[in-house]
Amino acid sequence: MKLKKKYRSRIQIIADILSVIEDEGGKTGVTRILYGANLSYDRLMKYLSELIDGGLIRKSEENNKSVYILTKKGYEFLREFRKIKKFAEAFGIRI
Amino acid sequence: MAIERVDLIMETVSAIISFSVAYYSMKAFKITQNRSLMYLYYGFSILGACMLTRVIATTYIVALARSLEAKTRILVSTASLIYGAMRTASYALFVLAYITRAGGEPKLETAIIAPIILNPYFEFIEVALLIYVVAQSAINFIELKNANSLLIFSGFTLILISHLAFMYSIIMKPVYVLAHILQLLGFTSMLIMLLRVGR
Repeated sequence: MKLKKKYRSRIQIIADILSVIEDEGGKTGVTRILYGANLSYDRLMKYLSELIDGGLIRKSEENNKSVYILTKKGYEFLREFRKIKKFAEAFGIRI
Repeated sequence: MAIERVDLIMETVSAIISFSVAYYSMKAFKITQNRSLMYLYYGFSILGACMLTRVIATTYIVALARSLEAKTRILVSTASLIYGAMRTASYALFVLAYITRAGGEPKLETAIIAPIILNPYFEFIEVALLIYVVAQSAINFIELKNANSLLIFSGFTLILISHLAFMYSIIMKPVYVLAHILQLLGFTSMLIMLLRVGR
């Protein structure tokens, strides 16, 4: 049986990355995000760089390891995205 | 005169709700760039503008009716034509929102919608378009089984029933107010969904 591949939009991937960081208490390393967001390393690094540029997350060093921290703007984006998702889903629109 | 005032108030409230849904759709479109949300935004904006146009035109026509009968008749038919065309366009946009929601290009069905906007039998076309929208919102509710999708399904269903009542009101006048009540209830259902989402 062929499994139907579920399409994930760019905005959904961004929300997934931010949700993983949020679930880890607002701060986590790249490995956790990799597993949680289900992305390849290269793609994840591109997204993380975009999110840092957009001010949604920031990078920090802890015990010689890189950690990504969700910013206030990131929390606000996630809150807004969840509302929008509920709104779109009510009309049957998947985002 | 009392009935006319009530229907205008109800239509104004419905228009405000329609603009609120349009505003939220626009906000969602800005963040997601999803085309279906853009069609919802245009659809609800036109629908709101259409209802406000009717309120203004009716108020003006009622005021004018006492003095210039011939001019009033032309105004009524012009206003009906604009109202019908705007409403049909907004429902066509809702259909488009459902057709394009998978993210692909609009299919052949879309091409059929465009020319019928020029058809004079607006009420029938509006009902036909709304049946499609109601069916899609019903499918969505069956899939999701949540309160928000139920509110949208019941909203569109009530608006569809209100159209049938509007058609029936041509032969039975008292149904006209009932049609407006049903329309307002439909938009109220959508407003409840907006309030739930915005919490």
